[in-house]
This record gives sequence, C-alpha cells and structure tokens, in this order.
Amino acid sequence: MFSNDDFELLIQEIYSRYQYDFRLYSKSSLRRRLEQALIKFHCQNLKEIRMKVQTEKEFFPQLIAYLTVNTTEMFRDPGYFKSLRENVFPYLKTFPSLKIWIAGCSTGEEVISFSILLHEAGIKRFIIYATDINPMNLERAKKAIYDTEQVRKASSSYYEAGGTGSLADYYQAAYDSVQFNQDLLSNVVFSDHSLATDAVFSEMHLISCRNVLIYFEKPLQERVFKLFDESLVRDGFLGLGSKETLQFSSIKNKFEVRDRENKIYQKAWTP
Amino acid sequence: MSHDNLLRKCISQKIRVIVVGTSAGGIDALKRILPSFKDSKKLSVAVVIHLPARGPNLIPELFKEICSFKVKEAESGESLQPGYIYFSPADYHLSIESNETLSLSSEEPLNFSRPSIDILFDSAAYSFESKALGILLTGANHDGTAGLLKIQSKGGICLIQDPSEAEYPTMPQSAAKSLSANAIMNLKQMKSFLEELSRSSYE
Ligand SMILES: C[S@@+](CC[C@H](N)C(=O)[O-])C[C@H]1O[C@@H](n2cnc3c(N)ncnc32)[C@H](O)[C@@H]1O
Repeated sequence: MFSNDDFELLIQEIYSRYQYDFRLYSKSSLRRRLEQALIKFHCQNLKEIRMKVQTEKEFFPQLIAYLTVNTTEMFRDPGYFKSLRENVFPYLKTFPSLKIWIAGCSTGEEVISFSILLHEAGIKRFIIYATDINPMNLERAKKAIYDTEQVRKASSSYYEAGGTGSLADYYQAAYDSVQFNQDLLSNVVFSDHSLATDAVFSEMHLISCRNVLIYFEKPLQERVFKLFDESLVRDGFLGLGSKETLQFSSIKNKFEVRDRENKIYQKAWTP
Repeated sequence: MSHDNLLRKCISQKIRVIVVGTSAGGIDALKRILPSFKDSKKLSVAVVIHLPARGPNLIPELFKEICSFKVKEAESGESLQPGYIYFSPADYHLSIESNETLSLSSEEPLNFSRPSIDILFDSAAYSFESKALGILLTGANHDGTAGLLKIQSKGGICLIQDPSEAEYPTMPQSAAKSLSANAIMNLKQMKSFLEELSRSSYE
C-alpha cells in the first residue's frame, strides 16, 4: 500500500505543481502523515493521492493540512518564555521599535504567548511577523479562538513563564471555547512563508522558530539557519525548540549561547 | 525457534538496529538486558520507555554507568552510529530514518503515548526491513504490538519478554497473542542471546 517510489513521486509532484518543498523533510514523520491522509481521503494508495493532486484543484489545500505536524500549545516549555522575559526583553526594550519573527507559528498559540509577554514587559512598539506554510493554521491563528480545556491547561504554564496577571484577563470565555482579545494581534502580520523555499523578508531583532527544524533533514536545517543569520540584526536573538540546537550548524560561531537549556542564542558582534 | 537457530537467522539477516520498547517496570528490565551489548561495529540500539512528560530525562545518565555501549538521548538529525544506545527524550516520538539518522517529532500521542513504541518500531521496520530486531518488554498497556507486527511483515525479527515473568504482563501478552513472534524469552535468556549476537561478527 505504501511504496517508496510512489512516495518520492508524490513529493515531487507537490513540489513541481505547488512549489511546496517536502523533499528534505524527515521521511518517517511525513510517511505517517500520508498514511493518515490515505484513511482520511479514502484512498487505497499514494498513486491515488497523486492523481487527486494532479486533477482536483480543491484537493491540495486539504492535503497540506495533513502533511504538516501542527502540535502546539501556549507557553510551551514555560522556561523558554521566562528566560526571554528575564534575559532578552530588558535588552530589546532599549530599541525604539522591534521586529519579531515567529517562524512556523502553527495555529497561533506561540504568537499569543509572545503578545502577552511583550504587553506585560511594557514593550509597545513592535511588529510580529508570524509565518507558516499551512494556510489553515494561519486562518485559525488569526481568529485566536481556542478550546477552553486547552487554555485552562495553559494557565499554569503562563504562571511558570512568569506571567504577572491572570491569563483570563486576555480572553472572553464562551461555552466551550475562548476568544483572545483582538488587541493582542493588532501588531501581528500573518503570512504565508516557507523556510524551505522563501527568502529573507525583513531585518529582525528576534526570531523564534520552535519545533519546526526537528522535522527537517540536516541540509534543510542548514538552509534555515543561514536564512536566520541573514535576517537578524547585529546582536539579534534566536530562540529554538527544546530539542533543537545551533551546535552542529555552520553559523554556530557567529552566535553566542545566551541560555543553553532554553536554546536562546544571540548573534555575536562581528566587526 | 531455538536460541541457536534464531541467532543464525539474525546473523544471516545482518541485523543492524535493535529497537526496544517498554513501559511500567521497564527500568529494571532494561537494566538486565542493555548491558549485554558489548563493543560492536554493527549494532545500534534505540529505546522508547514511557515516562512522565515533564522534567529532565535522567534515564540516559542512569544507563551510562552500567552499559558498555555509549548511551545518549537522541537528537533530531543525528546519524545512527554503531555501538550506541539512544533513548527518546521525554515527550517526543523517536524514529529511525532510512538515511540512517534519527529524528524526533511532537506529533500527537499515539494510543495515549508519546514517545510511542509503535512509532519507533514502525520506522525501524520501514527503514531497515529485515535488518531490524524489535524487543518488547514489560508494560501495562498495548503499545508496541502494532509496531512488532510491522517489523514482522517487513521480515525483521521480534522478541517478546515472557509475560509470565514480566512485572507488568499486559504489553508483552498483547504482542504474544497477536503475532507469531520469533521468540518469547525471559530476561535471562534474552541477556545471553543479545550477548552472543553482539559478539558475533558479520558484515
Ligand atoms: C509543530 S508546529 C510548531 C508550532 C510552534 N512553533 C510551537 O513550537 O509550538 C510546526 C509548524 O511548522 C510549520 N512548517 C512546516 N514546514 C514549514 C516551512 N517550510 N516553513 C514554515 N513553516 C513550516 C507547520 O505548518 C507547523 O505549523
């Protein structure tokens, strides 16, 4: 039901037809996503999926939602956010205006977390660029409506992250979902941007890219690191996921480790 | 299959990776078998043990001291090396890729488990086919059965801890019922089997 050749052909077809480049993604995870897609779209094999990609215009946007791993949560790894608040924000505060890039923002929980922390740190002049390749994720992120149960769990992470108010101050609760205040997104620009194929789009003071690189093979990770290096201003910060590291990358010497455990780096001053 | 026949089968299939899955009672069981791996130029071992999600993973430290293989927590993208035992980090799935690297993922838990034994086994089956050996030990759930079935269907070899000996028999029992495992062994037998396997030389 699952042949390697069909797998490669499908990935190739997606790339040439839609310019979504999954060729350097870790294969195991992608294969599991596709196995789920077979069930969801009632296909017998990957050939059928490929036929649909070729012939049905509406199919691809639905498929893409299945190909990416979207798991996320608010204040994921609270120590990371606490460290940003304590070690990075005081420094960023000295800039007249800030540009922050959240790459691979998924359904927006990380964006809300940042907005809340910036607000509590009294940082007002900033823009957050929140990017992802999955259009459905971006749509959900813009709405900022989340499951009540999920937000309830996030409340303890918010405190662990050093939150100074109450998470409930930032949303309106409805029956089984909550709506975060749209103010939190007023300085946020959501856009479709692929770390695998797109280029630098602005100069950033802080880039947060978490739990995206673990799905990439080494050469693609390397591409992304170069992109981040080019995008960051001198002294700019880079934050990665808890299982991601700059240690084995070619840009490692241009960065200093600010918080090893929480994977926060600062681009070193190079004369 | 007898011990000797199984050993011959492993050698003729040139087993390269050994994937181990366990849950409740797993630390003690792993302490019995992981030290069996002696210096080997061919075997790599990857282990999933269900752990509470948060907090630092102390398991690799625990095993460093008693194993002759090098022990480490797996990192995403690192290459699979012989003579190493890799543990999945808490709260991440671990997979073995066909380009002989390891990868991590925070995909949804599978059957309430992250890391999932099924995911590790399934990836080893796809990437190493008949060169994969899966070992399922004590545990109180059903993780691992589907993964062993996948290893079996790709021609790999499956070992199951004898449920009557297991501290928590549910997991090995579930697997023993569903597949024609190549062998059901108690830990003592498994230990000597793995010692012999890691000592035998094949290309
Ligand atoms: C596991 S989520 C991580 C979300 C969030 N950063 C966090 O840490 O919780 C990974 C996200 O990366 C996105 N992604 C995958 N490939 C990408 C690419 N080439 N460029 C940008 N985003 C990508 C996926 O669509 C998904 O939303």
